[in-house]
Parts: sequence; C-alpha cells; structure tokens
Amino acid sequence: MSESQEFVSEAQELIESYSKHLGAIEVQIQDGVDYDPDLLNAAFRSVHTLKGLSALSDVNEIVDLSHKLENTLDALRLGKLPLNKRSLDLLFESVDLFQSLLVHVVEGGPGHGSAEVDAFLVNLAKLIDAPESAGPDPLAWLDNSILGVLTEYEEHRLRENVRLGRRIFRVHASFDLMEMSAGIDAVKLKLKSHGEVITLLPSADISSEDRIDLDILVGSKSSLGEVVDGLDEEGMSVEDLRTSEVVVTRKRQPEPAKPVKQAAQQAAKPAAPAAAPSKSKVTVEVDDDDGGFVESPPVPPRAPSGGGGVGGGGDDDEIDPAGEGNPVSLVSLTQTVRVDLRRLDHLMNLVGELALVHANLVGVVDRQQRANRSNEFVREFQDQLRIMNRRLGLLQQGILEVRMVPLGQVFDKLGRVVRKLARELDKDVRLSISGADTELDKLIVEELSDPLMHMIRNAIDHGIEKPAERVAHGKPRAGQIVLSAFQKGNRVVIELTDDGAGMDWRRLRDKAVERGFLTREESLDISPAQSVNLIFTPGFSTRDKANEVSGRGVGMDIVKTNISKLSGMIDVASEPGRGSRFRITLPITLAIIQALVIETAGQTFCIPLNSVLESIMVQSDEIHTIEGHEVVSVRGRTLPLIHLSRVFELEDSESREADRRMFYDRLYVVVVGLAQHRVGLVVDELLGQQDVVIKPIGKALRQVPGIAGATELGDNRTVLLIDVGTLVSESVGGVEATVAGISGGTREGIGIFSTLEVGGRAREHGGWGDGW
Amino acid sequence: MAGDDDVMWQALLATGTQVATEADYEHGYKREMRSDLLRYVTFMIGHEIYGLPIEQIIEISTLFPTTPVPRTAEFVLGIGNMRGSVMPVIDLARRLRLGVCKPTRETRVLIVRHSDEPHGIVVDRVLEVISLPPEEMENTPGGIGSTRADFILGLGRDRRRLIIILDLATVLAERDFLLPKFRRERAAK
Repeated sequence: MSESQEFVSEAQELIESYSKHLGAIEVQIQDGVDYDPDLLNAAFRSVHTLKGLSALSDVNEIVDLSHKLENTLDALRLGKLPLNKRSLDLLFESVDLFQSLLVHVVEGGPGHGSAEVDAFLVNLAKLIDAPESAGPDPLAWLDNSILGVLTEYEEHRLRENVRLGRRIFRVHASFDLMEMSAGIDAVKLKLKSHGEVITLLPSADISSEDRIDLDILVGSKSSLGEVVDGLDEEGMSVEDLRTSEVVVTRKRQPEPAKPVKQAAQQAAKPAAPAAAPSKSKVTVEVDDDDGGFVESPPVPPRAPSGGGGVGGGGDDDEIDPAGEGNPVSLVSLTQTVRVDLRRLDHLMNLVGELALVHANLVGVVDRQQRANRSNEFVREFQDQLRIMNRRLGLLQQGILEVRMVPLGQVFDKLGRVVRKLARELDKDVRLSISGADTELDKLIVEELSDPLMHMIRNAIDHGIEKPAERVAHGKPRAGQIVLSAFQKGNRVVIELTDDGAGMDWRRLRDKAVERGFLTREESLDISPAQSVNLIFTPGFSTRDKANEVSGRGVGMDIVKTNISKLSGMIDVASEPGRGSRFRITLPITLAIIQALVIETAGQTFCIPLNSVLESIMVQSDEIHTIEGHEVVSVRGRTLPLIHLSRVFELEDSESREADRRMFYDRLYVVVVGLAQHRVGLVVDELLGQQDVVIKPIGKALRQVPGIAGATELGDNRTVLLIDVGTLVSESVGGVEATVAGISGGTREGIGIFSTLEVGGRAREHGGWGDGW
Repeated sequence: MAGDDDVMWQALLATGTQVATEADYEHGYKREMRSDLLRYVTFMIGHEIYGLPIEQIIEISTLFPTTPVPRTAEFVLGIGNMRGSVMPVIDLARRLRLGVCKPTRETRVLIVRHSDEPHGIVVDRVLEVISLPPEEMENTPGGIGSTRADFILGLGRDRRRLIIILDLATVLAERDFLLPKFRRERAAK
C-alpha cells in the first residue's frame, strides 16, 4: 500500500467536503430556505469520487458504504426520498462511519467497525423503504415533448420548481461553437440570479456547423419580463411554459429555420411529438423566421445514461449530474498542489542556512570595513547585503505562508461534533462560526482539534442547558455556541463562548475541597477567578459519574497541556447563568519564532518571546523566601522565581551565582506566563532578541521536559529552546506531578494558583511544590 | 544512495586504515564475493571492535561541536548540527559502560539513521567495511553482563578478529536518553 498515504489524505478531503455540503444543506433547511440542489449534487459527487478512489485502493468497506450511500443520495436528488431531518441525520452518521473506516485503514487490522456499518445500512434501507407520498402530478400541464427528454433528476427538479410555485421558462439561445462554454456560463450565471437552471438541452442543428442551439429550462419566481431583462443578450427567445408567452430578446440575424430536418430529427425520438407548436402563442415576435425554431423543442442527443439519472448506476464518469457539461471546471480544480510538510521544513532549513551565510558575509564585510574605512567597494557590498537580507525575509515569509491553513478545517469538523452531541444529549444547540478563514500554521491547526473538541463537549454537556430549562430561565430555546477566531498581531485568538449555565465558582470550590484538591482553609481565601481556574486541574470533575461525553476529569487539564505545548495560553471567564468564555491565544507559526536569547551558567538558551511577559532586574535584597522557595514582589504581586541553572542542574552554578550576587547585587528575571501562571526565570545575562528557526531535536530528546527544540544562532552554535510551559508547571506542581500529569495519571500537590496577591497566601496555597 | 556511499568511502579512506577498495576486488578477491554477504562498518571502542550494518549508516564525520542538553543521561553528549540537521549525539563508550571517549585525531562520529531520524554516535576510531556471511554470526554468549548483552545483536569473525555487532535499537532506545527521574511511561496517548 505505497499510495495509502495519498489515499487517506485524499479520502479525508472528500469526506470533509461531503460533510461540509451536508452542513450547508442543514443550515439552509434550518433557516427555512429551500436548499440549493447543487449542494446535494456536490455531496453526491464527493461520495461518488470517494467510491472510485476506494475501489482503486481496494478499500472495500468504504466502497460498499459509499455505493449504498450513493443510491440513497441519488434517490434524494431525484426526490424519491424526502430530504428532511431524519435523512440528514442518517447522512451525517455516514460521515462518522467514513471517518472510522478511514482510521481503520490507517491503523490496519481486520474488519473492525463492520457492525456499525451494518447497523447503518439497515437504517439506510429503512429510510429508502419509507412510503412515498404520491400526490397528484404537478407536471400534468406540461407537455410531454419536454418531459420526454428530461433525465429523471431533471424531471424531479422540474417538479420541485413547479411545486414551489415557480414559473418555468424555456430560454432558447444559439452559441458559437468556439465560444460555447464561455457563452453558456455567462447565460447560466445570469439565469441563476433568477432561479434554478434545471437543464440545458442542446439541439443538434446540423445546418450550421459552427453554431449550437440550446434550450435552457429555468425555474424562477421572476416574471417573464424580468428574466428577459436580466438576460440582456441578443437573439434569445424566452418562453413561459405555462402561459406559452414568448419574448425574443433581440434578433441578431435571421436564422434559417430547417423544419424538415428538425422534423426528421424529432421523428427519431419517440418522445418528441409535434404538439408543442399548437400550444404556443407567440405574443412578441420580432422576426417571423424565428417562430419556427422557438417552437420546436430541440431534442438532445444526450445521456445514454437515460432514465436512470446520471448517477444511478454509479458507473458513469464525472459528468456533472446537473447537466453542466463544462470541462473548464475540471481544470480549475487542479490549481492546488499537495505538499509534504517535511519538504517545507526542508526549504525552511535551507532558508535558515542562507540567513547564516548572510550573517557570515556581513561579518566579513564588517571586518573589511574596520580595516579599510573609506572603501567604495565595501559600501556597495553592504548595500547588496541589505537587499539580500530583505529578500531572504520575503522568502522566509513566503514559505511560512505556504504552511498556513485556514482554521476552517478544524471548525468544520467541530460543526459535526456539535450536531452529534446535541442530538445525543437532547439539547438544541446552534453553532456560529466566525473567522474560519483566519490562518495558522498547519501543525498548530492539527494540534488544535483535540483541545477544541474537548471544550465544545464541555460547553454542550456542562454549559448549555436542556431546552425546557432554558425556556424556564427566559433564554431562547436553542443554546448558542460561538466559535470565533481573529488575528491579533502575530498571534491568533480563538474564543469559544456559550450562553449556557456558566460555572458556579462556589460549587467548583466546594467540589475541589470534597475531592481533596483544596483544604477547607484554602478554600476560604480563594477568589472567584481562581475557583474557575480549578477546571484546569488534572482529575478535576464536577460530575459524580462519568458519562459518554464527559465527566472523567481528564478534559481541561489535557486542553491546557496541549495548548501549552503549542506555546499558547488559555484563560476562562464565566458568569453563572450567563455562560462561559474560553480564550486561546496562539502564535501564528511554530516554525519561526521570536526568541529571547539568554545565558546562564555559561550556556546559551532561547526563550520563546510569546511566553515572555517582561524582563526585569531585581535587587537581591528584594528576594524573599517562603519555605525555601524564592519569591519577589512585582507591582504588588508575588512572583515565584526559578533558577534556570538549578532546574537544569547546570554545572558550577552555585559559585557563579554567588559571584554575581556579590558583584552586582542584582539578578535578571524573565517573567514568563503560561496559561494562567506567571513565573520568573532567573538568568545570568540577557543577550538579545532574535528570530529563530526551530529545528526538531529528534524523538529521543523531544521527551526531555523543559526543552522544546533547538535552533541555530548566527555563529553556527546550536542552542536549546526552553519549553516554558513545562518549567512553569514544574514550578507550580513539582516535577513528579508534571511528569505524571502529562500522561493523564494522578497528581500530587495543587498547583493552581500562581497569581498570588501576597506572600503570606503563597504559603497557604502551597503554590510551588517541591520540584527541585 | 551512490552519493552516500561515496562520501563514506572517502571518509573511510581518510581514516588511513585498511579499507577494501575496488582495486582489491580486481585481483581475484571479487570472485569470492557472495551476494548474500552482509556488510558492516567496523570501529573501535577502547580495544574492542564493534560493527554496525552498513545500511544503518548515513555518513561518517569528524567530531563536531555539540551543545549539552540538560536532564539527559550521561552518555548523551548533547545535540549537534551537521549541515543544518540537528541530531542527538551520544558517546558510545559511555553508553556501553566502557569508560569515556577521549577525543583524539582518530575520533569519528557515525551518523546513523534510527527510526527515520539521524543520530550521531561518537567512536574512538573507524576501521573498515567488512562482509560477513550470515551463517557465521554467533549468538551472544552467556556470561556477558546482562545489560551489555542487550546491546549486542551477535558476534562475527573476520580474519580471526572478533567483531561485536551492535543492536542500534537498544543502543538508541529513547527512554534511556532521559535521566530516570524525568521519565514518564508513555502509556496514555
């Protein structure tokens, strides 16, 4: 299965677009709008393509499922089945099934999940068997000459349009063969603004070799006049099929009518009687010649697929079922290229190295300049180097932009989760999304989906109340979850707001005491904001029993851990009865970051600047100790201190530090913040600020707590990048707790409050554990 | 592939020790070549000769600077940067508990590929590439300290010299890189 990777990503895309189209249909149905049949067609196409793709890769489970689904979708398209909530639910279920089948393909192993598929297929069969309400045929008035040439799908659309009380127009147009596709597109676009283009029926008029005549059936609410005005084209005739009124837009040139040939052609098709002319009453006519061809319904030489509809057998090629046989669209679909992220990383590395070469060149020139002050050559060289620097920057930025993907990729998935959960929990939830086009590094977007999923689950399970309860509280029946994203400087902010019950901080506090995370005394001192932050404690849950959705107490701490890993921050605000708001702040990319370069115990490190709040200088007499842990007061807040040299057990730190204190009597402290914590890192020197390219350090070293990666500084030195998140958690909860906490196990110590108001309280809350 | 081979040959030749070259094969040597022979790169740690399958080795380099990584085991020298790719570098002598490698002019870094990532292994001296028929590989004899035995895939004999074939997977086992107190079992997730 060498192409398995390719297959999975392609299938993933298809499934996502399938689900997206279903989602769009659902929104339209919910809003009480008639859904756009093109969406259903697109969903059908995705499933169809998926089937073909899976057949190629021999993934039979997916082939089977998509085949059955295709039949259902086809029936829906043709109006044989009603597209309602029930059928939509079933379709959404199929999305999840596809996903799990796909996961199964990735992971390998024998036929798992087939029971689910079977159950689904049974439901599907039930849906298909559901009795169909056969009303009186709304098309009785329409003459058979038209009905006879329509495919089943087109006929269904025609019926649907009539049922919706739209007028049916027949637009007759003639196009130059050379410009046909462009011309048809233009006309279709104009007609679409009035209603739905049901079909295009080409007439094989042999008389003019370089022209082609088309009949376009349009369903529209507009009047005949409006449609004609809207067309604004020459030489077309528009007929209202019910009243048989005809308007010719403007005659371009007399087209010689060929009654004989047309008659002969019609005779070849049994379904095209000559009844049409007698019914049509030409009211407006510019040229007499015109009548002949307006009235003859051109018979299409189309569709060997015949009555079964284009998609019926599933064995057709990619002809657009709506009859838009326009090959241009195929071409435009291939405008994107799939690129392996590793290749981009490679490019990024090369750019980084170029930057190093550049830095070296600058060094050489600088030396040259010092040696020889007024050298014209050197000055010119420097100018060029500056230009090169700018170009390098652009190149770097360009590559970064390639890595960017819109957050919509994750948001779409979440839409599905909301739907499913709301149904399972009997809640009415509306998800509104904004800023889905905000772009973030692909890696970050990938890593975000799990945390966001957890948060959405919590919002629906804990946040949004049952409909009856909401109504009783005077809220709208449907709960509202708002997922929004926006860019703020070089960070992206994602907010998840719900208008549910909110969090009762007293209850959280009491639960924490009950579960032993807090002592009774501690709980007396805790502020509402601190209580709300208890939800980030590993193992914390307010539920007495876990259910399928949540309540196991391994939710929010994982969210926090994951966000921290992405060098992001998370905070929460909540008001009982009004709802909660979670805010995640993330760097746009992880590949290049701004870093603060520091030195401690003779070794250089980088600290991601996005976790740095400020750097301060502290006199050593400002440092107090609380149970042996050093703290310092910064603007009235107590800040715990971590000595980098000590946590990393760097050599000779003791003596050096003593030296420093003796001579300078002050320390550099880098204040870092992660999630809701603030900690001061004590370092020897601040060397400056720099854009650095982060390089992975390999699986083996990736697990080193406190180290996030490596990077190169200009002088070919490899420098470690500090993982602020881990260091902060360590300082807060102790090494053991951090190590255990990440793996989802139990923990010791509390480690929730680090934004402490006074030193006295710090002791009570036992903020920093015994990490070192 | 050919490129990698070239680089390695040059590196081997640069070490100035006996290396079988194409020229050797010209003089009859070649006829004895069997297609199923396994080729090993051999090197010295202290007074012992070790070998690694040639496919696992990307490149042989002279010693390059490394940056120490805190909280890692003693045998981890740190991370080094070979032409833009950052990799962990270990001291094999310390890893095998044979003392500490003292850098000399002969010291080399074997760049090996393990779980699709490059790793650097510092050895005292690189010897040559040898071919061994698979059936001549001996199993590890009992009596060797149990921890060390884990690192050994088997023993080979070439011109009456004993060659210890290492098991790269154990030598570079991820969990050993960390100091025990920072380890966490990756059970969850």
